[in-house]
Amino acid sequence: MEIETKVAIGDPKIDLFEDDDEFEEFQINQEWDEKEEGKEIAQQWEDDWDDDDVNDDFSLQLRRELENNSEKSQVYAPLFFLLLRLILLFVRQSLDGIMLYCFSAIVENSW
Amino acid sequence: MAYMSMGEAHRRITDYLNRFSDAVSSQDVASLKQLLSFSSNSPSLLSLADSLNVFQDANRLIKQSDNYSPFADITVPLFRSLQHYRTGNLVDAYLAFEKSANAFIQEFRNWESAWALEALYVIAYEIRVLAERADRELASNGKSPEKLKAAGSFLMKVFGVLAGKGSKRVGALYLTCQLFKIYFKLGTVHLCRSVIRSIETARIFDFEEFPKRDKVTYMYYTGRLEVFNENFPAADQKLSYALINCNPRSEANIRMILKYLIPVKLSIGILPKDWLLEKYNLVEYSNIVQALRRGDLRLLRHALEEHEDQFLRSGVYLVLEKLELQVYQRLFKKIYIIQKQKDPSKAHQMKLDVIVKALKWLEMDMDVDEVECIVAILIHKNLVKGYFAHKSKVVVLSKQDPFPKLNGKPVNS
Repeated sequence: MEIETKVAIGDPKIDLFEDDDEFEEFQINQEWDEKEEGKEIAQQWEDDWDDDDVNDDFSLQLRRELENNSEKSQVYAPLFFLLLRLILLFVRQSLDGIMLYCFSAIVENSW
Repeated sequence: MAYMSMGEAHRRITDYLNRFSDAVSSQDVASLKQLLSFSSNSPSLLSLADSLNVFQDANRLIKQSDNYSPFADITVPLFRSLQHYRTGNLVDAYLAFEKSANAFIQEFRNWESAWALEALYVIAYEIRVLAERADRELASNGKSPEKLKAAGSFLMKVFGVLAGKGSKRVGALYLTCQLFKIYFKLGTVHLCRSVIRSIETARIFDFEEFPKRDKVTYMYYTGRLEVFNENFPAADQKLSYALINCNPRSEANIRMILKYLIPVKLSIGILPKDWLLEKYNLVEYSNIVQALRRGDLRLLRHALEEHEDQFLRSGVYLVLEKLELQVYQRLFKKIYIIQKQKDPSKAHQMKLDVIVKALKWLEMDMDVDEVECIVAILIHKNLVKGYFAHKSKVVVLSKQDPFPKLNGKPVNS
């Protein structure tokens, strides 16, 4: 089976001592029995992690985000604040008027 | 340094030469190996080097003796190499060693049986290691390093000697692995191709016949090549073989295998357990695994940034970056499940605006058109099953299995 290499690995001169991951030499004649450990390591992979559980922290935060910024408030929120501003403006102007009236009444009466 | 007399030096030299010819005549490879292993820095080799400096007429000694002269082409340059090695003159040490090794190969060819194979392994290893040190010396003197490249050519020749029908052919895989180490170090991995082709297609070779330790090393390097070429099923098969068959006590090697196997497994939708990452100190992958589990694009981005240098050096950065599509899929799936819990009848009609909101929360500012693009890509790659109701900016998900699992296969390219 032919293996084509598509990825070039830099200028050989500069990358002279590249490859941090050089496999360590096994001793010549070294034999080992890996059956037990081989089985153990083969069991360290999960392929059934993609479940339907949405009770983890991330999912709960996601749910809150989707609910808080629900569609209606995106339309109404700006309107709401506009209305609030108008009311405040009216109240302030009214307050100013009332203040002015009171002040002038006091002044009048003291004369 | 203790003073060595001329007599003592002479004795040590003849001692070595006797052991050499005895080893050859009695086919004692265990003894022969030790006489060639410079990098072991054994006391006997070091004192031999000193002896050669005291008694400076070893060449005449060799050529004038019937016992020693048959191997003069091997031992004369070997002695010269040892002296240069001792004085830290690595370039000359390499050149002389290569000359000696060349003569050794000629003899090796003539020996019918494979009795000296392990000595050949030692020579191959020493050639590579001496060449690396010679190149460091050249580079530090501002010269162009080219001895490792020369060592590669030399070992290819040796490979050719072994690639025949006889019992010597089981040595070919060890030579192959030494060549891999050279090519990977030089960054000339395209040169691996021809030797791989010989090993895998030549009829004289039966892969199962090779020693296990060489098969593990071979699968590690060819597995890494498959990762570079993004052939994930092949990479999975080879690196998994290396992993399962590796000496469990070689923790450094197991870690290296996992370093490349984990991105491959992630690309086919399989996650490593935390235990594995912790035991072999591969915690740079922890957040990436977490990001996949959660569907957390922000975490993926951070994890890639945090370990960018590491991932670039090992060449797995692009592989990990492409996991983004799988993370999108997981996020969309979660949104779908959350909406289904609120209103089961409407959940399969996912408004793109909802996705925009979720992405904004994950610090990704995208408008509805960009989101539509991404969903389109996921549909194209079969990560999402559905179609667009474009005007209403809704993706209508399939009622059955709208987010198909990878099932051990990589995402469609």
